[in-house]
Amino acid sequence: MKKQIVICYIAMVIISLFVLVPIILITIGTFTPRLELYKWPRGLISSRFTSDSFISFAQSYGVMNGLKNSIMVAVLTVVFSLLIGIPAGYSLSRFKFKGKSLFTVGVLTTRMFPIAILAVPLVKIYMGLGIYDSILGVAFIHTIFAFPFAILISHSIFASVPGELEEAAMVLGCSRLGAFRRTTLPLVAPGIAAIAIFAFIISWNEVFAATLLTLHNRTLPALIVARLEATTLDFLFASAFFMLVPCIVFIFIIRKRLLRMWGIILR
Amino acid sequence: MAEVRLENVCKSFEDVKAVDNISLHVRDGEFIVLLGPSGCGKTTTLRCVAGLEHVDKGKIFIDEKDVTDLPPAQRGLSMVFQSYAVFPHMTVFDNIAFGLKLRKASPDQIKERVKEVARLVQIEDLIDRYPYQLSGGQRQRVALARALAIDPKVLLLDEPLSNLDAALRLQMRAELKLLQRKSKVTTLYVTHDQVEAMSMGDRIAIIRNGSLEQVDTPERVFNHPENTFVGNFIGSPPMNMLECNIVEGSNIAIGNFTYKLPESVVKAIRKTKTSRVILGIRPKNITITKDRRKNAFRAKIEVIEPIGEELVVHLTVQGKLLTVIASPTQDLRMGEKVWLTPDSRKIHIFDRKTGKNLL
Ligand SMILES: Nc1ncnc2c1ncn2[C@@H]1O[C@H](COP(=O)(O)OP(=O)(O)OP(=O)(O)O)[C@@H](O)[C@H]1O
Ligand SMILES: [Mg+2]
Repeated sequence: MKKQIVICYIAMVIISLFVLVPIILITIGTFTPRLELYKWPRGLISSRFTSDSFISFAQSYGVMNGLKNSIMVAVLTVVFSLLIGIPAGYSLSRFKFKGKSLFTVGVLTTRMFPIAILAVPLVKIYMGLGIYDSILGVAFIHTIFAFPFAILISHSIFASVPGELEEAAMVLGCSRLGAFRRTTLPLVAPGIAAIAIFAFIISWNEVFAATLLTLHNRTLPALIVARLEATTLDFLFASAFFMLVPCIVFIFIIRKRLLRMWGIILR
Repeated sequence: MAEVRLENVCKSFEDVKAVDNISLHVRDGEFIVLLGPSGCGKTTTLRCVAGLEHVDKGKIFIDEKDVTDLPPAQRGLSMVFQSYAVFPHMTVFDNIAFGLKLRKASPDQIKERVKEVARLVQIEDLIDRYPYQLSGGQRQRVALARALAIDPKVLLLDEPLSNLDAALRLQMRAELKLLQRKSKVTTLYVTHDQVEAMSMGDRIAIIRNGSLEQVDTPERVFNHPENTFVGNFIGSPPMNMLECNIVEGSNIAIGNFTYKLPESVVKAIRKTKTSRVILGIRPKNITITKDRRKNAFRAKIEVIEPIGEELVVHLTVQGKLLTVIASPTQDLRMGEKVWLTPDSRKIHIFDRKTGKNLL
């Protein structure tokens, strides 16, 4: 018994360190004086705390704009993915229709084509539509990346909530939509939160399409990648920190929903 | 209070006729049981009444009002599902209050009413719990309370007792019946358990393959089955069915034996002019004797099952299997040859072709 618990703890610590160590090192690096970063050997903790590199990165050309773009693109991607994923997943789990299994497979094939092959036609189409170099355009392509998973995940989430709950609500006086809102929606909220996190991260980390489809309105990762070669160590740390923080904040906001399970086995 | 009328209701799923031309008139305050084997369309019938299935053909009336095309919410009825379908993310209180809130009742009214129905089904102490903290029987009561809270015109119950253990089922059976007596709500109750049906229903509607076979009181269904299916389905062990021929107008030939029919039966059969019939007789209505009696026939005991208060005796008559219920005080042996005397007042004669009761 004791031994198992010890092993459990060791595993937990290792996994946590695996995730936490880079985050901690990045954070320390960001707030270390620039010259100290190049010293060798140097201690783990810096001699003094400074936000110099953080501020100079934040003030450097395009960064704040990139951050704003990235957040907007990611939020739009989450919204679009949920708008497509929730109704599609719901229909797949509740209604019978022809070509259902074909649809499920078809959704995944949208991820079959490497974006590199689609690059030129995509840029041409985007220019034709007038959404080249726009936030909306990047959000569209990120939604394309995220929505197949949004559909498949929400399909299985809805399938785990019995349809009879909605029917019971309907008999008691709800419309179909009202029944969905009052019974199924609160029960699937944690799952939908998971989809939101997933879509956010896909968008937040995506570089290639974002670089391809923008020129001035770069998202943060696209901006950083474009400048990667000509950057100093302090800029690298600061940019990594910039990438990390919004993602962590978003996950912490959503996390409350994610953990708010009802302590029930649905069936 | 209301009456429910189904007129020629049909509902198919792809090639399955789940409900096949059912017409049924449920009277005000009546407790009617829909009984039939698994997959015969009981649930589908109930769901059609609730408005959860759209009927293909036919009409449904509640109190003279045509509700065929109304959504479930506007039919003024309640339903208890086989799985109970209590809302897992709401407390017992919120579950019961659900329908009341939708009806825009005031908080005081809601509190009052929830308390009232919770007391009725004896769950007042559980009001703050979540469903996962309840046992199956308690959940079933919550579902029932939720259904009763809105004062429905009609109550639909889909096998509400099937998930309970035997003891609790017996108790809930009596409670449900009492509850219905008190509230006088028109009730459609689905079950595939004939004992449940017999003990609870004012009338029983027996369904097979989506069609009604007979709608009658438990007493009539048991003593005057309209056809072989009903005769077979009601009663345990099932009614004995012997294929035989009518000879000389008033006798029945069972292999080598002839059995003289009573005068009243002869009269009834004569009108129908069939001779190929099925003789139906319940296991309880046959007497086993060791000595020969008038109008008896010979049989061999194959198996004896003692089930406490009685013996279930399986015999063969001219190669045909027969079941008789006998008293354990009788000294019977396997392999023994005995005489069987059917109670002539309790026999049924069915047409062999149509299965219809000829009496
Ligand atoms: N949604 C559906 N899609 C296709 N077929 C269905 C559907 N619902 C019911 N059926 C079919 O209709 C027939 C009647 O089903 P129903 O559920 O009404 O039976 P039941 O009498 O309630 O049976 P049980 O006692 O097992 O609950 C069955 O043959 C069933 O397979
Ligand atoms: Mg059923």
